[in-house]
Amino acid sequence: MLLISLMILLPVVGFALLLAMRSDLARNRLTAALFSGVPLALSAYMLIAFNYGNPGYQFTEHYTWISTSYFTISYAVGVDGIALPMVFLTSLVSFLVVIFSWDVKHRCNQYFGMLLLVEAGVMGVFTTTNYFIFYIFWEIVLVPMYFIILIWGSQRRVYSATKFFIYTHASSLVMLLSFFALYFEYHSLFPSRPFTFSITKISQVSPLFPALFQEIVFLGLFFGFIVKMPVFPFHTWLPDAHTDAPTGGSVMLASLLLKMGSYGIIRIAVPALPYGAKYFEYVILVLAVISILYGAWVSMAQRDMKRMIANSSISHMGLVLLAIAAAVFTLNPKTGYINTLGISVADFQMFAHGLITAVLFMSAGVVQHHAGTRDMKSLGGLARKMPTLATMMMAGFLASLGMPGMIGFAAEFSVFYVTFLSFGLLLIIPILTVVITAGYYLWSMQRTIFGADSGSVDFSGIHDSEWFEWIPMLVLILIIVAFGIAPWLMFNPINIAAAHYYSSMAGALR
Amino acid sequence: MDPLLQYSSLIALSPIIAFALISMVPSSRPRLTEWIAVIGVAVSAALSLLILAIEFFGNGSGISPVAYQQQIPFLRFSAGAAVTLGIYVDWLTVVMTAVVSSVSLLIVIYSVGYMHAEGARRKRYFGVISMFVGVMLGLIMANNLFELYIFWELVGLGSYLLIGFWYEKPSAAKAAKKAFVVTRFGDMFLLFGIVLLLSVADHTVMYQALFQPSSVTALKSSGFLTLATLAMFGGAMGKSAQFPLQDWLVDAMEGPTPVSAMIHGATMVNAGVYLVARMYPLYSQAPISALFVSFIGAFTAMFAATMALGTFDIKRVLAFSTISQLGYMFMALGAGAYVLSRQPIGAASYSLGYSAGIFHLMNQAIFKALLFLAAGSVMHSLGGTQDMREMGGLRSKLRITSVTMLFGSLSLAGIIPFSGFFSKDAALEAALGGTAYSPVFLLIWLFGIVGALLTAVYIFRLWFMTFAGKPRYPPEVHVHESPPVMVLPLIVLAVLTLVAGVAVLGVAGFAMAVHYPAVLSPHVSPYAQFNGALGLLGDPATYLSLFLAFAGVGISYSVWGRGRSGSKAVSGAITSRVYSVLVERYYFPQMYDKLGIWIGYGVARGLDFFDSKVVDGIVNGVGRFFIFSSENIRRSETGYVQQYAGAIVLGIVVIAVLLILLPMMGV
Repeated sequence: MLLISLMILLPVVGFALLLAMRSDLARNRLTAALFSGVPLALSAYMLIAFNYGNPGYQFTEHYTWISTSYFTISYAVGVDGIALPMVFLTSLVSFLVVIFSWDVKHRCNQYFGMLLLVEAGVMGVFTTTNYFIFYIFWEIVLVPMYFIILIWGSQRRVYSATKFFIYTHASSLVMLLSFFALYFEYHSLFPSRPFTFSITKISQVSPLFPALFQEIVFLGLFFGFIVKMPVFPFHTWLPDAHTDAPTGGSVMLASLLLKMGSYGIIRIAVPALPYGAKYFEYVILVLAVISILYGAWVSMAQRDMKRMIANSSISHMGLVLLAIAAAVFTLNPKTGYINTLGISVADFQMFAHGLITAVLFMSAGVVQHHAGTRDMKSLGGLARKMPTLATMMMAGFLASLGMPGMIGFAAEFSVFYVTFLSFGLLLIIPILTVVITAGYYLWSMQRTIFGADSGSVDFSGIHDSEWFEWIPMLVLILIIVAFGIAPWLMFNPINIAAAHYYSSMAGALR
Repeated sequence: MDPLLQYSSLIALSPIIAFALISMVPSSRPRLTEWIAVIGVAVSAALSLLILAIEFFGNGSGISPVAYQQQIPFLRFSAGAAVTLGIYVDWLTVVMTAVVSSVSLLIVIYSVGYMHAEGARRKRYFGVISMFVGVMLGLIMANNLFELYIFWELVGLGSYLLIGFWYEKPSAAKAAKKAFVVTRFGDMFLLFGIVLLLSVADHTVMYQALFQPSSVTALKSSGFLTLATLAMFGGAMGKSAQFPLQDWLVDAMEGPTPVSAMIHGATMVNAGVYLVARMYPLYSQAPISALFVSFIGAFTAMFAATMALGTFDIKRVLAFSTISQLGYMFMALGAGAYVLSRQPIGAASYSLGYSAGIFHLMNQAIFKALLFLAAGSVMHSLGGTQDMREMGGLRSKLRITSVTMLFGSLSLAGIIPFSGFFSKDAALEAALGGTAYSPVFLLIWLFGIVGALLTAVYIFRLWFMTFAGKPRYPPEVHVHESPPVMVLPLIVLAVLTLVAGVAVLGVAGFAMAVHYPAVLSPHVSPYAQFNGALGLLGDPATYLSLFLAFAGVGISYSVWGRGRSGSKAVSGAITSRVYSVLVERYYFPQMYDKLGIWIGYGVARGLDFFDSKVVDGIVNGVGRFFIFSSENIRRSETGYVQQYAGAIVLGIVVIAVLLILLPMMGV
């Protein structure tokens, strides 16, 4: 089946077409909507056609690309329960971002093209089962995102774009080195087997690699991934990049790009290198807890609404890492036993955060667009002028602070549950975040949409959000609520897939 | 089983459906939203009252101990661990839903009149208030702690939206935020407790499984029982505004008055009391937690009552009163649980504290809703002022309001035969009963007794200042009685304050229905246990508290009654230091603000500085290092071939020396 390849290829075709077109907003945006809408339709079809009883990869494709005696690189893709929510998230958010960017006039053909290329890259990362292809897609994402920040960004865009590029590129080189280490170690340990970059094939034997090797390589992989997530203290590129990117770029960054990092940890780093993961379990835990509280607390200090939301992402991605830490804590590298519940919960929290943070950045974008500023001190009383925006923004903020009935709560609760299972009463430290998070979100609402009219913003010309602004937000909120009421719809396939995927560790060690 | 129980989930769903319908009505049709809200809540009230009546007259045979359960999946973590959503109906549920839905119905009807001037914004009001009632009923009907927490948070959301209804007022926006954040601080502990129970109690928080004697014993031996019950009480302290988390409830007066009646009487604050009552199988095995609950409750009962003496805002007096009355409920529940915990399992037949706590909850819901609605009627007629110094002499102008409010005040003060007398006295007697097991209960009882005196003083201070004496409002204000749609709920509630106590023959009759432990045979009547309605009258302690109540009314009359409009007590020009502490609410608001600024914002600013200067400083420093070093290295690229050749020669020499030297050194 060509399903996944089409989902990757169509945005690339759209990208090429758009670059070839002249800058003509009406045609460009329709083209972009088409080439991101069809992948969304395909991923909706995938949700239906997916065999929820099968824990393994589905819709797999495998083509040998380069085959020499030293190198065999295959283009291999597939989707299992762990990748399914990410694939759906990617196609959904990309399409909604295209809609949301409906009136970006400045060099619009390139803008939409870059968005599509990001979509293709992220989709590739989430679906590939080959280290080399993984790396290629991982780096493909970087280039268009760099240009999105650089060309369409706000005040400090050059600084932010450069920082984003160098920081994440440097970290991914470390990741690439680790990939090669796995690649050669595989062959040197099993000379009879042909060289392979296959993620599944390598992880079938990599738990047997020497402990020291695992520890070093895990550190390399882990570093590459946590910079992308990002995790304290490697997070400082994020607030700058998110703040200076245009709204569409911020949404793509926060909803999709950050997930690539945590996805790498659960897909590659932990299952391939159990000794390494176990060796660094306390590092993972401590970094996670610091990120959660630190991100939340720093958010409270922000005046710029977008910067606040960007910092809240650090906190919420910290929850993902905490769930991973909880899973790693149950890991026994000698037998390969692991309670994969934490892995499932991490994946689910990624899905939840991807949906929610898109609404947050969109609402900040609308505020910027209509009120002309994101400075929360000079805003105020927006709810009367922009009731639709205020409703959407409030729904998004409430979802993010873990209001039950929305997906964020189900995910957060699950994180706390697995944390208690592994770490017991220590849960009292990370759980503090629910208060801090509520504090900064409610305070920011008090300052922006509620209260008296602000004196420093001219309210006379302000009108409510446009259709292409509130419809994407509404769609996201409806999905957030739907999965908030029935989270098992997405959680169950993740859970069985995670158990199956991680069984390769025990299989290797048996 | 009663077939009607199958539809009991409609009790909670009907207002939520009303909310969904209202959100689809265009804002240009606010009258339609009123109807939908009233009908939505009326369906719940009718259904819950019907179930109550059938079960009550049917001797509860269909309902004891657990009548009805159903569940749908929510999250399944593993084969043995899952959380579900479901419905759980027992006597506590039936009584609570009846109280909440019927009092809410009266408040919603009253709102139709009160909110009339709000125009198109009524859509938002009636939508949110339907949702608020629905989720409160959902909280009561949940069949596990996880689901309870879901509705618990949604109740918090409803209160946030309602307190901040007039969001353009900065004070309202601030009060809404404070209510949410302070209760969420408590909720954090509740969440912790639930996660703890879910993890240690065989991976279930279903009431039915959790309350099995075997699992309670297992919990107890795991050592987590005390911690879990204390953590859950943290949530109850937030929602039910117990010391030291009481202050948000006072600021919550920024919402419209029916909202205050809703929060204080029918819904939100009862959630904490309900939680402790629901978790009685756990609390009755955890003596430390039970004692803590009782002590905090009794202290709050007295503490909040003192603050009520120092305020002139009519709604704030009632807010302090709510905090204080909730304290009595916790005092009774805690005392009952403590007594049970000190007896061998199965020895106790019934718990007075349990029945008294729930009975007082029911009565408080009625008379507090009445008091708030009457206060709203006063404000409505005076054009919005809440300051009692600008009232006075309204008795003749507002006949119905003043009489109904008098009924509410008498009930709150605990004057026989109003309902408040029966329940408050039973609560005090429960505390006194604890003295047989722990001397701390003597102090608790004293707190309660002092609180009872203060209660009578402050509520009649309110009544006298509002209705007695000479008018102090501006003469140009045209005072008029409220429209029938507002007065009618007042009359119904006033009748209930008188009837509720007598009709169920005091606490003993109430305990027929709601009692703990739940026994399998409904024929063993707890009525005999409490010596009937007249049992209370045989107890000397009853006469002490009754005497104090009358004394309180007398003190009020001598200070604020008798038409002494010019006195300092009426004008508030008292300079005593004690008095100013009361006026400042023991400086709690300032303390919260300071805490918020220092721990919240101050630390946040510090970390932000650290983030940009240190963490990001290192990142930028690394960047600058490379730029700097590359610029320096660039200078070596001079373009002179001689220099390059020299460097090559130098390199060869170094390598040669190394190659020769290193083997010699044995490397």
